[in-house]
Amino acid sequence: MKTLPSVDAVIVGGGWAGLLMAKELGSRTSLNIVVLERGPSRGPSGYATDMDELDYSIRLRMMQDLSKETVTLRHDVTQRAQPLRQHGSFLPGSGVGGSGEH
Amino acid sequence: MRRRHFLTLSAATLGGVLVYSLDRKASLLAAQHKAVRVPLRFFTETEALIVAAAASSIFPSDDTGPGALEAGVAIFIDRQLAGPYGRDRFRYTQPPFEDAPRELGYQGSATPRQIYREGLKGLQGFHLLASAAQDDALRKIESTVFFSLLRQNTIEGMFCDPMHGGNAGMIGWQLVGFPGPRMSNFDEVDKYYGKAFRPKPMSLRQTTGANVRPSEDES
Repeated sequence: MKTLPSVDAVIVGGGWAGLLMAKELGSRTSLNIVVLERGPSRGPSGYATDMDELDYSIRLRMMQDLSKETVTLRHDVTQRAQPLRQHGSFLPGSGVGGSGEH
Repeated sequence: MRRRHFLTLSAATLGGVLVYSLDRKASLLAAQHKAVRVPLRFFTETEALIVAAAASSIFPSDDTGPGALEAGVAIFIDRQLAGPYGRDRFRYTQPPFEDAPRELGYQGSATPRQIYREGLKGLQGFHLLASAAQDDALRKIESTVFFSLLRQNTIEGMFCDPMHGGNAGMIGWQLVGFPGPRMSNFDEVDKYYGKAFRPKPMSLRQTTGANVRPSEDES
């Protein structure tokens, strides 16, 4: 197992909550902070050149990869919860920025 | 390796290059194309002919403009199915598979590839039928998962960026007056102030000059 350098705080997930906490901790304290994000890091050029409508707006490539992890849902307690197999109205994001990115 | 299949698009179906004048009236230039043989990635030749005919019934060509046949929708669907979308690379596909309320979305285990392979078995000889009989055949399957996928993919293939194999010659975009993924209209605002601005459509690759890779070309 690889041992990573020790830091004061590790934030898991670089979305709305994680990045705001990192920013506040980073600017208000002297703590060393690492943010872990499983998705890719995208820069402005990625948006300008890569994001085709079919792949990103229809196939939702910026959203969480549901083949690896998803949620289950039901509308009330009498129903049996079912997995969210493809994205619907709920769009969890992936990549630095998380759901705040799209 | 399987025998290589091709879909032959005749010069007649390609119909020449479509141009739109500013008043949005479509006019077809004389067809000068020779027949084009496009190598297939997923379908057999017969399957591709059926898909092309079915897509054309869903989005026909008529006097308002070209349809799915001219836009290459069958080629688009073939490439989508050959790529990660076709094998459900991005969908949650673990069991158990149970009946669920409709609003929870498709809960089945079949991938788009399997849905098409199975669905096309029910449309054998479809491409040989007369137009009215084709419509009847589609009406019979219109509540199936296969048909809703075929309908959705037909629309996608009409209006996708041409790098995906559909919307050939950007004819779908010309039909609806969509100029393509323009990054900015900053320079045009003053130039066309008070006047209609209808730019010639440009694809993502033409706009950016970058060789954007569609997801179906990924392994």
